[in-house]
Amino acid sequence: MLRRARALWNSNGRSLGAVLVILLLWELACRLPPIQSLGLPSPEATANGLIARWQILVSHGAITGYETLVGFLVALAGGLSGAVVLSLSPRLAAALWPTILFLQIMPKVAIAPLLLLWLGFGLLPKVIIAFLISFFPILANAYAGLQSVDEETNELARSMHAAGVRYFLYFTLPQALPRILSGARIAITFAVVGAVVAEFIGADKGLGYLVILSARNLDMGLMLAAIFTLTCLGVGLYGLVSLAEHYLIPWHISRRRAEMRDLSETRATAGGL
Amino acid sequence: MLEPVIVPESSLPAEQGVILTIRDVARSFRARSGETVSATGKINLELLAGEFVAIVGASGCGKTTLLKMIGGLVSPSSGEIRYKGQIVKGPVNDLGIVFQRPVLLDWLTISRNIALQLKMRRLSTPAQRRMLASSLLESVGLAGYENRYPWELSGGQQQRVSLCRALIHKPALLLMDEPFGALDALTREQLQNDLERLWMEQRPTVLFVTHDVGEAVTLSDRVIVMSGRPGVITEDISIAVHRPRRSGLLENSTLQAYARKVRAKLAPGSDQDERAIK
Repeated sequence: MLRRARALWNSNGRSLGAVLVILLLWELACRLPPIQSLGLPSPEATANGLIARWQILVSHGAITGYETLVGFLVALAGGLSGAVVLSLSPRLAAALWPTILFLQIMPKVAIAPLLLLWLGFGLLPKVIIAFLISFFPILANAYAGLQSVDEETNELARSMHAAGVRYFLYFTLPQALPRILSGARIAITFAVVGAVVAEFIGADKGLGYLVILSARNLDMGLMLAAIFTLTCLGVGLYGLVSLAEHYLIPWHISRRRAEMRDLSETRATAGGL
Repeated sequence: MLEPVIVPESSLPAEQGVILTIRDVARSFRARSGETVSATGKINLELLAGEFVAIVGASGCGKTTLLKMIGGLVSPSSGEIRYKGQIVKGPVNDLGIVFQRPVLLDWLTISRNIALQLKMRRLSTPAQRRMLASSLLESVGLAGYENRYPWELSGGQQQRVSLCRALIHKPALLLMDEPFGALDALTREQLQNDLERLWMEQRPTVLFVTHDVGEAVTLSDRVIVMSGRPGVITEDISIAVHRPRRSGLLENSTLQAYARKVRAKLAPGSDQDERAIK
């Protein structure tokens, strides 16, 4: 029992301690005159704001969450199918790659004003921005993943006469899954940014709108509460991808852990010497 | 453990039919600079069904290329390879292959890694596949490892699994590309014993690429020496020593004499290689 408590402390206690120290410093800083003049709310005031206005935060958060998630899911479907098509046809990939690279580098949020101009202030332009911004990391990572079957594994597959769909399902796809999921990991955090920026430009709901509104009203408490809610939203969505990793590539995670354990053991031994 | 089948010397391959003929086969490829580089010289070779043949030679002589051409994984630039009378165009049907690395799939358990061979070939039911995999695992001393994952096994154990996967469908042709090259001496000896025993049970035609002369002599019925760059076959030595040999190189003076003979044939070739480098 004591040992378990100690293990729990070792893994989480220190992080929790660090958070408490930061909150304490923040609280103290807010009492200093130069910072007081900026109107930065103290942790206490922020917490009060969160509790008092949780209904607003949740209802606006749901809007942003919806935009992000729909944009991300469409990007996931599109990015994966795009990567499969490109990996099936090297010629098409070679022909399209410069365009893809160009579009990938183009700052997607810069298109937001144009989309709003065309599509109005509804949810659709936000979903499209979230989609655009998360599409390319998924496409690029999935494509790289689908190319990652090594020469020998390919020869093994050919010696087994594994071709077509069976080759794809048993060799290419599992090999690509870790890369696809790390693409999704990047994409989901990007998608939140996309949705919020689109809301900045023109919206009447969503957490991005709430941030802009509170800035106009000089309501720092609401602004911090909205940012905090946004972060929670991001963490939650990130958690979804981690959950997917847990179910889809347990072998990859365990192998990584085993390798890291070996590495730290080697280091420990080296240190002992 | 299964008892090894004792094969009397009189039944060794000389009486069996030709399974593979290689006629004037050569392989070249275009280098980045645009010039054509030969991977092998012209090669002529016949393999008998059930024969264990080792190919030795210095690195870069095209042993591996020859192996892959025979399996149909690489196509020759000229010449003709016939397997069971048919011209080889693409991977040979009943083929098993073992690489220097185990090449196991991380996402499958040991049992599924082995059974994949049958599954991809649409052979037997899932239950039969599991049973076959288990009995092969048991025969190489890995009983109870069915549900482990590859990274949980040592290098030698992984290579055993790879051997099981190559044999589960009872292939007529087993290609091995320096399969024990990355293992320590003790593990290698155990695996050589496992291989000899499994080969005697199933009797596939084995083509075994190695640069270890002792290993070649201990395991094979014939040792083929390749030398030069591009490599050609310079020597074809039959090893008339009864089986099982069980890594008998240390004690068996006949095997030692063969090893000396093969090494002597290899030596002029390696001299040439050195001269070529200068």
